[in-house]
Amino acid sequence: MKEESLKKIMQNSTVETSEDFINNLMNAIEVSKEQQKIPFWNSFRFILVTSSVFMILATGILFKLLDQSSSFLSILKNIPKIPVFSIITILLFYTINSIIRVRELSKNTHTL
Amino acid sequence: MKNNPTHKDYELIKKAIEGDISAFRQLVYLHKDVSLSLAVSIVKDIALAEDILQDVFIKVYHKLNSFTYKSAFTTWLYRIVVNTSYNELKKKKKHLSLDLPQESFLLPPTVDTSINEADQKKYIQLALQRLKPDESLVLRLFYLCELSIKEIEEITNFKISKIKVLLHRGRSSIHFELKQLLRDDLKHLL
Repeated sequence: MKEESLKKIMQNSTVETSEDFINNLMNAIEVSKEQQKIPFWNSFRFILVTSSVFMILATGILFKLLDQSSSFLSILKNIPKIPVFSIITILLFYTINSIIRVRELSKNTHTL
Repeated sequence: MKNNPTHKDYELIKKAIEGDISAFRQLVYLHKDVSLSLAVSIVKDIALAEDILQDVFIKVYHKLNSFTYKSAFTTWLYRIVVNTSYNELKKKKKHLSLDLPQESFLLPPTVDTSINEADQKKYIQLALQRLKPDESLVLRLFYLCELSIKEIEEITNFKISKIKVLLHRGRSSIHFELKQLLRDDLKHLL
């Protein structure tokens, strides 16, 4: 095949976008601009404050209970602390992560 | 389609950075079809290529500030299109079917009619769809975008020797595919 013929053929190989491509794109850009306006910190502020309050409350209650001398609480004192602490921390992170995901998801569905 | 309108692109970019959304719209309008053609060369699926292109232009809009004006805007844009398309191809490779419904494109068994322009376009696109992604991409960059081998190297990150091989193979493959599709009517196309 001659070079000129191939060039002519290839000039005809453009694939055109659908009619509403640009409008859809400009809408998507508007949405992404709106999303960028919301600071990243905003997503975490509520969760961070709430979980901090819960953690302080839980720690306070736990310390108060552990100070009391009862047979039931003496069992709690004998439980190894590091594994329990690790499990609770993992669970806490998992919960925080779930809350963030739900919040982000609901925010996205609102904007769309 | 050579890079002559580079300065026009630069002006539009500057306006878009200043917040003129219609300038960006014009920029998209100028480059959307060739960009889509490049994406289709790689992923072989128009709907998927449009999605990729939408992501690419959103990315471009937000990264316009980082454009350095050292190269043509098209080189920068096509590099993003090519990279995003190859990434998408890797992700979706298992689910993609490269076989198109060829019946709808087959030439009717009439002898006296010459192929009209719309049909020509269909056959050319179908022939390119049947080529390997690298071959059809390099063919389009070289002949459709009229880029030099050096520019193609910059966009694709392929070595110059590989680009030359792909061009050589691509030329043979497209001729073979068009011959398969059009048989005797190929002469109307040439």
